[in-house]
Amino acid sequence: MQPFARYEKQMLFKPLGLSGQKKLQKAQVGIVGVGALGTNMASLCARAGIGSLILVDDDRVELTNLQRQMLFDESDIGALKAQRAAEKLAGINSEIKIEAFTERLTEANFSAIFSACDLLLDATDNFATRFLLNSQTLSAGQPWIYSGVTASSGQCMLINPFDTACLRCLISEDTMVDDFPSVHNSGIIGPIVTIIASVAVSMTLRYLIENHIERDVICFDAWDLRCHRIPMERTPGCPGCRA
Amino acid sequence: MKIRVEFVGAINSGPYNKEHEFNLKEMLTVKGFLETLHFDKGHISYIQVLRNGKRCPHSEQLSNGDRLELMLMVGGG
Repeated sequence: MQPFARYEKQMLFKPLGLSGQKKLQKAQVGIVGVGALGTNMASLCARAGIGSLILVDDDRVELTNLQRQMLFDESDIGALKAQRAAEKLAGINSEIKIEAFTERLTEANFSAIFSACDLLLDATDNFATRFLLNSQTLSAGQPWIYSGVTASSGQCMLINPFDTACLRCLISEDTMVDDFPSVHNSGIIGPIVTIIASVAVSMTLRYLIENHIERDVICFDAWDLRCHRIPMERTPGCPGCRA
Repeated sequence: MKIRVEFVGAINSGPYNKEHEFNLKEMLTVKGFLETLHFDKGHISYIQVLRNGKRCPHSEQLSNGDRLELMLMVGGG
């Protein structure tokens, strides 16, 4: 097989081309959470030819995941998500490197897992892990993309430390609430997951190829089919990035 | 004063339409306005507010004719 043959159609897209494909091949992207957003993001990243993917999740596949977690099927129920996803991705693209960590992300293991990543993708299902991501990436100077979905809505935002707003610029108080709208109490439809994962991976490709920093939060509702762009600036006195 | 509010995405618009006009007393801040709505107190800090197209802190004072967009940061993944 010719090198890059599988990416022929993608390379015809002028902003990407052969030089962009080579940049993707050299890139390493970490995906935090291998559930709904994570499986969709990982599939798109692997198919696009991002050279190295790191997947982290300590959870196992359940029947109720199959409606939206695109890499899994009935035979995967009970399997560790990160491990099984890595196996599926290897079948999709054997030319890239995929590492799976079946542990919970903590302050202690963060840099050992992600220190070489060019960009991290947030595919977690809780804000506690997102705040950990925010503080760790500020320390490491690594860009990451916040993504969240609930019901028919979702959001996505690229956070480039000390340049764009950070998560603490947007949510300054340590308010953790149990009844926050989530998949568990508000439900979720599959299309919004695919849309937000796609937006996040588009931002990823453009960042890796052109170093483009998207500065708006992109919000989408897959039921009303409405899209909003919300400009975000750093918040003076932010407890995270100290703007 | 009168302001127009759009509830964006997953935020619960409660008894109101997705776009609703409110009649409010003068000298009200964004935070004060949010507290008069039906939101759980813990959710308010997760609400991003655009005032006339620009993100604003919750401490900002509202004016007659303002247009707000309210967006709740969502956490599912």
